[in-house]
Amino acid sequence: MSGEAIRTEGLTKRFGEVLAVDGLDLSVQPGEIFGFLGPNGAGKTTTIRLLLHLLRPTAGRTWLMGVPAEDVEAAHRHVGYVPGEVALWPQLTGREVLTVLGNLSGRVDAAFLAELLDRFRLDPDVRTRSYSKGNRQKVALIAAFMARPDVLLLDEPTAGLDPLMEAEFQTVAREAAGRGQTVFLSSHLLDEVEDLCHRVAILRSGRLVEVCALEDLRPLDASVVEVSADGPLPALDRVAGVTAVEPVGDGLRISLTGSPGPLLARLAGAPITRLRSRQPSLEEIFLTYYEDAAGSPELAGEVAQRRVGRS
Amino acid sequence: MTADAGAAPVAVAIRIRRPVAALSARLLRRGSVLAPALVAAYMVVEVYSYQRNYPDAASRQRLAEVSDTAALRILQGVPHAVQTTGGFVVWDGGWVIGLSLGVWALLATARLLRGEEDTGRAELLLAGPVPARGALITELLVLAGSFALTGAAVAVALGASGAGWSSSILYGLGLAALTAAVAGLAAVAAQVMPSRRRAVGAAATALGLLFLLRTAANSSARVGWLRWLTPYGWIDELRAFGADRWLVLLPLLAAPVLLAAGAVALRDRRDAGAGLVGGSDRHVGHGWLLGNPAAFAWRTTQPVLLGWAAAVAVYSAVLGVLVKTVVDFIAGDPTYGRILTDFGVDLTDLTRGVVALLGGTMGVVFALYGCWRIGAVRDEEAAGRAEHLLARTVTRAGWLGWHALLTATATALLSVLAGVAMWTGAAVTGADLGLTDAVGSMLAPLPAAVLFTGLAVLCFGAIPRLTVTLSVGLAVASYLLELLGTPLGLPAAVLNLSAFHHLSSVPVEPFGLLPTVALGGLGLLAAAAGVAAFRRRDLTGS
Repeated sequence: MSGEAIRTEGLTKRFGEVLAVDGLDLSVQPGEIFGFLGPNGAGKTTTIRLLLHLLRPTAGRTWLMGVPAEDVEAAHRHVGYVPGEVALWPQLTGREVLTVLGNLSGRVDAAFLAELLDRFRLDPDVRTRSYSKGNRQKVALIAAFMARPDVLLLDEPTAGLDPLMEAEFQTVAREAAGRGQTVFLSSHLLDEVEDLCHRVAILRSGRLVEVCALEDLRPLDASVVEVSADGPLPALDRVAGVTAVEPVGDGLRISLTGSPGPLLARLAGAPITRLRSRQPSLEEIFLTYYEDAAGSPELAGEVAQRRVGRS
Repeated sequence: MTADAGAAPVAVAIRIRRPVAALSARLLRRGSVLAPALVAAYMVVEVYSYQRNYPDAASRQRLAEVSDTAALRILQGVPHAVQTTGGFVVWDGGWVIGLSLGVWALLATARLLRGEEDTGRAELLLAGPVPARGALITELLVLAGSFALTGAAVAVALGASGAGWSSSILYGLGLAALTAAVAGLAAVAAQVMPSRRRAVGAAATALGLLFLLRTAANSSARVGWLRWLTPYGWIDELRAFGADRWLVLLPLLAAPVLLAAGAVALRDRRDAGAGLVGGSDRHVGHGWLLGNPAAFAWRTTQPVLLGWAAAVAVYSAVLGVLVKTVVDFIAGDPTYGRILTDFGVDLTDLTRGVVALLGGTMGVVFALYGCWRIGAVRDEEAAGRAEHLLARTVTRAGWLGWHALLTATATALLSVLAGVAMWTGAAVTGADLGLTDAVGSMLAPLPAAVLFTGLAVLCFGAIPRLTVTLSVGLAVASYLLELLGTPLGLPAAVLNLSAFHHLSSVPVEPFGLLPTVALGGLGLLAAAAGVAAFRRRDLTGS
């Protein structure tokens, strides 16, 4: 347990009939940038609020920098937090909000605050009631980063930021990780996750379906084969290595693991006009995980199991 | 669009406004049911207490004589027909009902017309096919419907109690129009001011001034014309159950219509989410009280406390001014003395007896301050602002504990202020009242305020969504039980349920240690249980 920035054991949260988080086991190392992904309602925000003890777990335990989460006074000395919905005191100015939050974090670095205000281009001498969503988000980000906490818990931190500020956020987050701070962020932006995160966890219906390094998520032997044809194609779903088949335009898009040999053997003799093979995009991989709730549970479950087996 | 082509424009306008009306009605639902029910119940209690206390023509004739004296005119208004059931109810309870309905209408209107904009929810509505002006008109009509319902409840309650249907309908109409007029003020303030808070502040100031104008008008026949400057005077001039002056309904009905028209005209001159004044939010904050959780709790409560302090000081000073008049009057009239004895006033020491009574009536005000402040703490949680603090080094017990402690401190400060203000008012008129007696009378009800604040903290910990509803409901019920229980002749076992029944009548009685320890101790226990419950629950949104 020692040495881990974030650890959960069997973390479970039930809201009445709904099991929002189900037996979560997580371990995040110091200096790591850890992405937390999943469809809406998967339990990402609930998990972050459980880590902060804003919600009380139904079962299981949590540690932040080795401190049990329920010891909030000690645990929160290590934490910076950006909530998913940033509400501020409308009558206070941005600077006043940053002052009070800095004082309550226990560590104020005036020079770093000034630098962050400058880098995020925030005018602090304005009452927060007139801030846009993006500006409120900046206040929360600056408040979280300025205390240089050991663990940053960020719930969709770039919501409402323009692309320039999003890039600035990534720089600041990388610098923090470089200093040994841990960044734990939930996100829907796959580009952001791909650029930033060392490891990702994928959550679906409150359960972890995958925890792995980003490069492991895109296995080297996975590929997507797109075939176009001007006639009927044979059935492919029982071919070894084929994990998904979907019609596109005048042909099929086939997801494939391992050798393309059996697929090519089956396609031999078919009226193919074009054949293209490529690596799957990150988006395609995520959709396989996310789609479970909507569509083909068996297939997605199979894929998920196979991936968990690999990691 | 094509489907609309054949339909009449009016039908289209009605159809696109229907969702706005439905949403407004949904948002106003609770108050629109509670207000008519409570007002009707109050009317019935008044009728019952009149028939019990003044059963025959002789006692009613005596009442007619004593009610028309300077002090009672100032407190309750000019009596026009107190020898009839309806006339008595209008004179005895009308001002309380009119003021309570006004406060409710003011808060509900500001919330619907402006609070929804402050939270950004109104934009979902304004992004639809209804223009801002059309949405405002629809919302005003729904509010008007709610007030009409309240007026109807009053008319039915009085009429069914045998007070005379025609006069009951006149008074119900008048009360609905008066409520709508106050709502009209709030509607205009909601266009002019930059936020809901400031709109409420402006409208509440106007409401206070209009009510004080009525009080001043009733102080002497010489300034009686002042009554025509305020809706609270117009409803008196209806003389319901007496002369039944239907013509006076005209200004009462015209005022809300004109104010509503003004609000609609102003709506097109402002942006959504902004007012006509207070454009710039650029401002270098003074940066005070940001150092620790206790200081910050004080910072967020301070502006509201200053508003309460101003209102409490003015009201207490007015009470102080009245002390001598009331005492002189009672000394000269044994009949009214008997009524006061009913309320437990000791006639041998009149000044201090009256002061003790006034202090008791302020107890409910202090209790309500406590409940509403804990309600504001709940708002901090519901809006998600508390998360910023509780995700840092602030503990749940520390956060809630400081707010509870500061609320209790502020309540004590308010009661001392009330005592000093009342003493000042009394001193100006030459009443024989000592400062310690005045302050003591206002400090006496503090244990009850502590009890209800503690219960509010308990609600916050255990059933957060009912923090205000439950604690305010209990405080008001407890106060009404004490106020009406004795005249209604309720048994002691029932009266003992009211926290206000156990308070000492300072300065007539010494400051009782037992009620202080019992009520205050119960309040502290409830608060401690509330803090413990809060530590054991999840943070929840609204």
